[in-house]
Amino acid sequence: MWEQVNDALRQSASRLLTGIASVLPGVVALVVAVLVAALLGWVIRLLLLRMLRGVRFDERLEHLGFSVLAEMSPSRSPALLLTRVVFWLVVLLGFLVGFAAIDPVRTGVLLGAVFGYLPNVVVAVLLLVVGALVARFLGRSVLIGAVNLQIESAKLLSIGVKWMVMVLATAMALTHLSIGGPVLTLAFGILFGGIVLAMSLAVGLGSKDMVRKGWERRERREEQAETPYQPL
Amino acid sequence: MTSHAGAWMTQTQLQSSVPADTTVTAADVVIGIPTYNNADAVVHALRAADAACAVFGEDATCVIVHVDGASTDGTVERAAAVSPENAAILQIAYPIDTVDRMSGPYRAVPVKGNAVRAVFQSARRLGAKACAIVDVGTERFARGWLDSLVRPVLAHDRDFVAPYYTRHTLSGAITNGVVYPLTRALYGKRLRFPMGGDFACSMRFIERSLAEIPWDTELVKSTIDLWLTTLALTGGSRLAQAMVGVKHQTWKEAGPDSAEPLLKTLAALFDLAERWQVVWQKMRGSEKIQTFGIVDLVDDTPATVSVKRGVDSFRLAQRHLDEIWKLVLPPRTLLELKKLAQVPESSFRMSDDVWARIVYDFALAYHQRTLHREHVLSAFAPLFAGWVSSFAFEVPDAPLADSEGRLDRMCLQFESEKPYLIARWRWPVGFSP
Repeated sequence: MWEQVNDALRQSASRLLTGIASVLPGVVALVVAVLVAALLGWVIRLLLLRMLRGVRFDERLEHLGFSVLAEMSPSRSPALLLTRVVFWLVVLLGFLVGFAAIDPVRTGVLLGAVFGYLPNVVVAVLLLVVGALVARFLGRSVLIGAVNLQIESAKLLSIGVKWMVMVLATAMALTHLSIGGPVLTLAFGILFGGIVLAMSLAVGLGSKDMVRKGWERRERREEQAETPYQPL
Repeated sequence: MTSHAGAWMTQTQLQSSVPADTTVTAADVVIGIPTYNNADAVVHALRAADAACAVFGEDATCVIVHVDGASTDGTVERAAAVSPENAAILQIAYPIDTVDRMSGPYRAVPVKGNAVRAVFQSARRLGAKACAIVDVGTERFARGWLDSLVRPVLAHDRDFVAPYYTRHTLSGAITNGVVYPLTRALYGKRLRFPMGGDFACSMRFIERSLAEIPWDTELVKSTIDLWLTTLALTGGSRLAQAMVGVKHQTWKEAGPDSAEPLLKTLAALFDLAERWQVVWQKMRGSEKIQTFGIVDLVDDTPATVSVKRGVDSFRLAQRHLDEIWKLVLPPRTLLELKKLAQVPESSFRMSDDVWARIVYDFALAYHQRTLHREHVLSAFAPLFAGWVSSFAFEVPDAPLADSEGRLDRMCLQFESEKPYLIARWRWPVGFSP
């Protein structure tokens, strides 16, 4: 019996070692690919950073009104953020190349799905960029116009307009990415409807006296028309 | 030389140029009077022009061209009822769109550029030696005003004669606050009223303006006075000024109606600065221009400015527009504005160097498209309201000579700050104030 146990253990170990031996080259290839990609990514990042700083990318972005990007970026530098994103993309690419060495079939399926989804991501990003530009333009127009009309709540109006446009653009982008589905549509409808209702109430309540007086004047005119002429 | 004195050439159907079948085929002096719904003023302007033509006698034949934009208030009919004694009067039409008819409440002849071009073409066709444009808004004409306008062209070889009005310094705030100081500093000539609606010019200048000015541009149509004046300032034309009379313009209080003429004027000024940047960057200082005519009128119409409203408008803008202004103005100016917004109303004074730099910074923002151009112009309006209030505090009842002296000091400040404008214009990124 001990010989059978010995045989079973030897076979099991042999299978394990064979399995590891078959996967090991792939794993080594994966590690090598990731290391090479990291090195390549580091070089690309340095070159890109130098180029972006040369064209004053951060200043130009701030000038175009994308200051929110600066607030989100490390050291308030969108150029730094962009180069880090590029670095990790190159590393991810290296990882995919290495993973293909272990399981080429699954890698192919994964890559197909990613590239099929990429156009949606591009369009969504474009929607957000256009939305941000439109929001900024309309917000400024409303702000300056309201100030010139001596409206005290000019800033509030401007912020409201900007948020409405950005909410719309974000909802469109998320719908395009097929994120949220009917929940998102419903939430956006409720939010937008709520904003419109609030503004309608503000306008309606603010002008109710004017409307009441208008109706009273109309009523008086109708009463005068109905009263029959009675000669003295 | 055939005299056309006292002749009427009215056409039942107004034509857009000098009618081919008219007996008026030549004239030495053409006087154009553009109108649009000016029934209450056209008769006075026509009579004044006709009476003024008597000064030329047999030396020069005069034709008055009444050019109208299809008025609907009886302007043409009232003008036709005037009996001229010294000049022939022609009536022609100038094209005006429906949109222009509906343009704002600012009292002006809409798309005046079309009217002026029609007069220039008439003058060319009549072979005139001098052409004058008379504004129906001029309330009282000085003695010999037409002679003062036209004689420098006929006898002294001047190409362009600008008007010089007698009026309260608080009247015409846009001219006093922006147009005059800026054109004087940029183009080096002390032309007191660059946007005056009355002027005279030679046929040489007419030919040049017809060839060089983009007449079909909407902005040019609305600000033709400024375009013509700037063309005269930059083209080596021989200039003069002439005492015309009293022309009163009320500054409209801060609000939606007041902004439109300011924005259009600013846009024209800044566009012209771009167009002529090679010329003005070489100019330093300013020189006086010879003035013809005598001052025999005083503007006794009180000019009223609501200082409080201007100050409130400025303070509101300082609270809300800081994020816009900081894209245009340097930190030093923003700090000055912040301090100004906090002082009591009685101490509200904007210094000349701050005002000069504000005007220059907005010109730079317009040129460099720091913001959308409409936003640049609109964001300037509350600052202008603040300047008007500050200026009104300083010269409410001062004699004309004193207030003109005050204005002159401000213009000198504009001239001394000009290197700042030139440096930032040439090196927008490198130069930091």
